Amino acid sequence: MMTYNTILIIACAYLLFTFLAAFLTQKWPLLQRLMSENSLVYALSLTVYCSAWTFYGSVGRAATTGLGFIGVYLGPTLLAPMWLFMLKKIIRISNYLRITSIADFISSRYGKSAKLGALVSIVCIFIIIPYISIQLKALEFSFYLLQDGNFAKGTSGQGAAFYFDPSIVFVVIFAAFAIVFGTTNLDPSEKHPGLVNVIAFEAIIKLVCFLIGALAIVYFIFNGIGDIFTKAQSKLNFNALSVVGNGSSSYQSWVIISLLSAMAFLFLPRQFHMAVVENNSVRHIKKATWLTPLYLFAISLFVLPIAFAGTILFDASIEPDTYLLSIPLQQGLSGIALVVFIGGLAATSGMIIVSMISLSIMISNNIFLPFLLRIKKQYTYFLSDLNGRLMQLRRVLIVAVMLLSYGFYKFFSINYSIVSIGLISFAGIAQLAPAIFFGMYWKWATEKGAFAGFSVGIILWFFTMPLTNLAELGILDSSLLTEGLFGLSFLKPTALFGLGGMDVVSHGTFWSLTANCFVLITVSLNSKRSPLEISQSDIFLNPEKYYKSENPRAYVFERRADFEELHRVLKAILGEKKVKEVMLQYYGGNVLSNFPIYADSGFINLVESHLSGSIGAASAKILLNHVVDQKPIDPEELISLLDETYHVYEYSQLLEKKSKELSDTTQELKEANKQLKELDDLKNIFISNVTHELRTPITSIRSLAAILGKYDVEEEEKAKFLKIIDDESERVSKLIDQVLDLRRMEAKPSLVKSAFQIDELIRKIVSGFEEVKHQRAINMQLEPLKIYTDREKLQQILINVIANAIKFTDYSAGKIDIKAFASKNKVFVEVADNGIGIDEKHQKKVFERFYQVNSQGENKHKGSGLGLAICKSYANAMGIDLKLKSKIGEGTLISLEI
Amino acid sequence: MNKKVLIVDDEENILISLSYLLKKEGYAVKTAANGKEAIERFRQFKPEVVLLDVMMPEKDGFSTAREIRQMDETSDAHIIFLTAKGTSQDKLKGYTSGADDYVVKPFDNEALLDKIMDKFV
Repeated sequence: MMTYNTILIIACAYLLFTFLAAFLTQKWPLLQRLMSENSLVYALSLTVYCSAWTFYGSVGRAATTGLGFIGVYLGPTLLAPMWLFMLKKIIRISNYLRITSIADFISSRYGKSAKLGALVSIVCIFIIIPYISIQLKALEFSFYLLQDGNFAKGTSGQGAAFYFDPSIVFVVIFAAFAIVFGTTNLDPSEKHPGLVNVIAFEAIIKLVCFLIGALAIVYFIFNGIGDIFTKAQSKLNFNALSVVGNGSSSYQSWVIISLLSAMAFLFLPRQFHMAVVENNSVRHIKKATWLTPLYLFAISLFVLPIAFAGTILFDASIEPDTYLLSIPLQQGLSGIALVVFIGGLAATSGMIIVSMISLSIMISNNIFLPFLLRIKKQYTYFLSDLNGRLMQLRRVLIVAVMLLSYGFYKFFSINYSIVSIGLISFAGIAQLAPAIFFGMYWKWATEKGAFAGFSVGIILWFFTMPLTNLAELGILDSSLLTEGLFGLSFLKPTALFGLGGMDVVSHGTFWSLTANCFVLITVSLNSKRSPLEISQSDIFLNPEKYYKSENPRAYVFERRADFEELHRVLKAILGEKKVKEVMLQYYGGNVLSNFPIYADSGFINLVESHLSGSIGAASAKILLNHVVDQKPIDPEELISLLDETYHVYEYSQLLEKKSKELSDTTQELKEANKQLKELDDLKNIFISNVTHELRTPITSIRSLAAILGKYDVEEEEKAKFLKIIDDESERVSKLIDQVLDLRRMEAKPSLVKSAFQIDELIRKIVSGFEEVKHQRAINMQLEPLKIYTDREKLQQILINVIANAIKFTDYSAGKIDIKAFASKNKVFVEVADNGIGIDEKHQKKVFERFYQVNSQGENKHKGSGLGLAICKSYANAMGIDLKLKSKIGEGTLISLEI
Repeated sequence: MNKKVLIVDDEENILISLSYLLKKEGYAVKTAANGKEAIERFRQFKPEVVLLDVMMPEKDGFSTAREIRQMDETSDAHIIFLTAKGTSQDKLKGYTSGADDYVVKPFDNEALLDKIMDKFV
């Protein structure tokens, strides 16, 4: 048990710490960059999803519905793979248009509709304020629990009469945080690195604290999960809890809750803010698709055991939502309870702060500014220091949201459980989904359609859910539930048109979403899009066309503005320095000394885009209406223009692809050409060698033939000459054979396989060299091995290899070792010599056609340059690995792996 | 005194046929199988005509010719290249290295004899 002051000091110390963390990351640019480029930070920041609901509510829900609690985590997890293209698309669009909130996103899609943006924002206020208030409730409840240790229902909080409510203390701190780190944007985009880092940091705190509490309960107070389940089984109707099918509607509610959660995970204002507005790079999504679900899994792993533990230890007088705190407290582990409390504080603070910021952005950009900027006086007021005024407005709004939430909590929320409010909020937010999905994937969706669909959806949602809730609590006349609206039974909020037998959430979600989609489609099909809607929907459907290329919108609308006036607007938003940059970027060099009279469409678009990043698309449009003239455009013309730009885009994509292919092909051709050239050079050398080789014997033949014809040659001489003529003729024909071999080498040689003794073959070949080897020593170490391959071709290979060994060794000191052995299921033949060797740069090439190592002039070792090339081609055909190792001056080793 | 001819070629068979031919025509003949040998023989033998093969191992005909010219500047020996290479580039290279004439293999015996005779006319 702890005193009020102790707990408050500890809690404030923790919050001060987060202030410091946020402050430091904003102070140090290096750290800031490091963090904002880290996809881990992004993935963790998405877990702002896990609020007090996760900390307390899930356990409570698990205690009453068993696995029913898990839908809230399952939905986002199942949808996570879709983030890779859907969230990516949303982010691409939002980055391009500098979207500031979910309301801005929807308003932008439907022609920068101020009306739609305002409606969405107002609904969000109504949905989120109760949601925040219920977080406050959880926080205060946990505070009192920790303070007086009295965890029985309804008795908490009474000893604190002389103090401030702790929740007001906290909510003020949260608002301060939101003001300090959420309304000091250093550049006009709505990015707050300090905030993101703190949320990521709190994600870790939440998980660690939750796990500490959970592990203490499961392994310290009980003997593990098995122990809890055994005890629970004997005490409770076990099956009813852990199995999903708790009554016929349970599967249904499971599916519905998963669906709602999946949508809420992206479209809740705070989620959209973290996932889209604060996103620095679409590359970060990839890690989030597995890391964030993993986090959800980790934090929900022990929920069921804790719920069981609570059910074992307590009777119905203890609120199941508090089990994570009450169990350690009951067991006297107040340290653990304090840790859990800090975790809950982290969860609550993250949720509330981000909600406050996103709501304040939404309310200022989509409710106040579109309204205020229409008024000339206000327009002038805002323009004098837009950024400053905007931040002022946001701060006021944060305080207002704080007061509303606190007030709502004090007057209404006392009676609600976290989960019931949470689910109703989710279902409300889900009403945004049709406008978003159809907006991104169906170009015919119109502003009227979206507005009507959303309105109908929200009305039905309100009727079937919050209203039902109020009636159930007795705040409204409960005859509404039993008899229906105006006493009409088909208007019963829990069984519209007689559709009964479903739980409230499933029933309400079903009707509201179905009607929402249906109305959106029907109205869209019966209404026309305005030119601005057409051009905006084009961006939402094909964002790649825009963010990849130069600004094609510039040429869609013809707009004109007085430059001086526009310059003034721009200066109010961006400040003097940045304006210069933008102007130089757009107009180049001498714009600063020589202003143009009129600004063109491209520049106006640039200004509007910067402006949208601060005050939202709808407000930006309204603001610019004061200074910009727009030439009216016929919708038909616009559509054809956009089609044209799309064709241009497609064409340029195609062109890019083609030119890449072309450059690839050019590269390939270059390579091929280089090879051909090399081959050609080799061929020239070869031809020159062959002609030389042919001319030499023919010279002798011709000369001797002439001698024999002219002179009366003595018999002895004559015989000698005739022998020479014969020899040289043979030399010519051999050469011709080799050239023909080259021709044959082009085609794949056919193999005639047979089994034979390799050692016998080698001996036979070596004996054939007896005459030419002179005093070279040929040593053989041959294992008697039988192999199965083409004998003829192997013989040719070996003759070539051994002939080379002889050719390149000294005729007296030459030593050639020939080995044949078996190893690893293969037969190896090695021919090693101690000849002149081949240096490294030639080694690879000796197997190429026509290649001869010796340069002209030192042409002692005559040949056509074909021998080894033919060997290699035979070896390849026979599956023989022919390798060469050599060191210049020391000799050469050729090995065959058969 | 017989006119002296030095034949340089690494092909033994060519040496055989040429020396037989020239001897029959009344020349005094010496042979060499490579450039190094050729220079030595030239020094001792002092031939009037040298038939020099271009493509020889170790020292080719061109450099052999250059060395002969450097070695004995007073000598007016006639150097005739015998070569299996017949491009004009090869001819140019032959003349710049100090050759007087050029015969492409395989040659007509009579044409070769005429070229040798030129020296002595």
